[in-house]
Amino acid sequence: MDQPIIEFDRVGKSYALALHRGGGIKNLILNPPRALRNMRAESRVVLDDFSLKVARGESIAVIGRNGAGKSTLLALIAGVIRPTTGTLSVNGRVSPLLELGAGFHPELTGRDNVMLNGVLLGLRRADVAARMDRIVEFAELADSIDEPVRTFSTGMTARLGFSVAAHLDPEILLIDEVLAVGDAAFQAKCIAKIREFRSRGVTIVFVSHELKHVSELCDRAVVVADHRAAFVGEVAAAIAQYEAARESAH
Amino acid sequence: MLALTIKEIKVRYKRTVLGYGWSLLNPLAFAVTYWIAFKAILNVKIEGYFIFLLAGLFPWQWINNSLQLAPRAFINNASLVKKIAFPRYLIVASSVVTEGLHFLLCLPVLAALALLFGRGTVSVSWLWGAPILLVVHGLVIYGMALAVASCSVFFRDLERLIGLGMTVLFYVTPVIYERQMVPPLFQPLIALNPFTYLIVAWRALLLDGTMDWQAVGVAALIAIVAVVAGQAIFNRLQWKFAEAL
Repeated sequence: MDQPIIEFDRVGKSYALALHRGGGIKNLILNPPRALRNMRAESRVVLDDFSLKVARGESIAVIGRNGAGKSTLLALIAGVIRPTTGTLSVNGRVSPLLELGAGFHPELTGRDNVMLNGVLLGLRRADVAARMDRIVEFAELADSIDEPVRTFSTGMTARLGFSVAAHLDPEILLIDEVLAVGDAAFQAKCIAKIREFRSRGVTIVFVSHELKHVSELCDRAVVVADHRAAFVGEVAAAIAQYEAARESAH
Repeated sequence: MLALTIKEIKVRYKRTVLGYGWSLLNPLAFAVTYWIAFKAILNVKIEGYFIFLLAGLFPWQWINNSLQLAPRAFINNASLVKKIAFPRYLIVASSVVTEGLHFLLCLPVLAALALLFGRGTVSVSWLWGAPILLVVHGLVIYGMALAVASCSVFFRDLERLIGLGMTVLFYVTPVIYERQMVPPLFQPLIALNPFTYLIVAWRALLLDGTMDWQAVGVAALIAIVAVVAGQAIFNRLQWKFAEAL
């Protein structure tokens, strides 16, 4: 194995809880020492001492219960948050497929959103324009691409989101529960597309509760539990381990 | 950057009839109001008061709009900030640039009115003076807006505070009066207000066609401080954005 494309080395991530509670400026002014102390003291550990190496071209599944830290893991890889401790290196262009269409602005047309998303994900305007037709065609939205996205159904938004991410020539594709939306035909199309990426050597990190899709699409799996990579290995073994752990928890 | 600015403009005017006309109408309406209040009723001794007002209100609108929008810059774009890793300060920069474009589009109107009322000169010095001021002005606002936008992700109260603060600051900035008219007691207050220098410099350029180099120099210093401080605050906080939004 040459240099891994994604490497977590003893990564820890904790969220400061006070940030969410938001006492506002009032607290800060009335009781600055306590407000500041709260901010530092109260935190929730999501990942702790998490290590994982992903090789180039591999597709790896992330399984774990709700709140285990799967989405945090993807956000770390996508580069929107940073580890609290440890180091993480990502050596390739990431295309995130987190909560499909989340980056879309409802008032803009589908076409404008594709352009905006493409540019933000690191392409030049000309590159996005060149791919526009393929993106629209894949999403099957030729009729409504110039309508504002707020008029789209959930399925349509999801299709467009998948289509954008799929046409950006990513080196690393992050997929979070995306196949839950869209009709069966489009799901099949997505799976075919993901297969195509696999065969082209794109690294895929796949989060799903659909264990069927996991075993269909991935080479390896990591089970996230107790803030750690509790198990890394073959998909079938990982699923067995995960289900056993779930049984014993009941 | 370009893409974000275009988005900003498109979103802003998506459902309005007048579109950019609003950025013209706003200061014009205020100018008329202030003219009635201070010229027609209180009879201030400033010549060509209407144009005088406009030359202050147009740049003030740029400051005001940018800073009022700043608290929501990251919050309104939460889905982008949370999902996509890109230089997030571009969100603030594009908002400042958008407002700057509006300001730029107001200048021809000001020029036309100046000629019409015979107050002020449309001078060649605009051609080199305006770009310098645009940059200085833009940087001052950008630095401040970046700091405000970053902090308000964590302290939502900031939005209210800015709203109040800008209303107060408006009267502490020589927009509706001249700096020289302020009594000595209050001069330090005016001098401490960073926006004073911007408005004074714009007015000198727009009304007299001269560069008030002293004001421009101070404004440039403020610009440097604002950008350095704003960027430092942003850098410190930006990795927590996705968590707090």
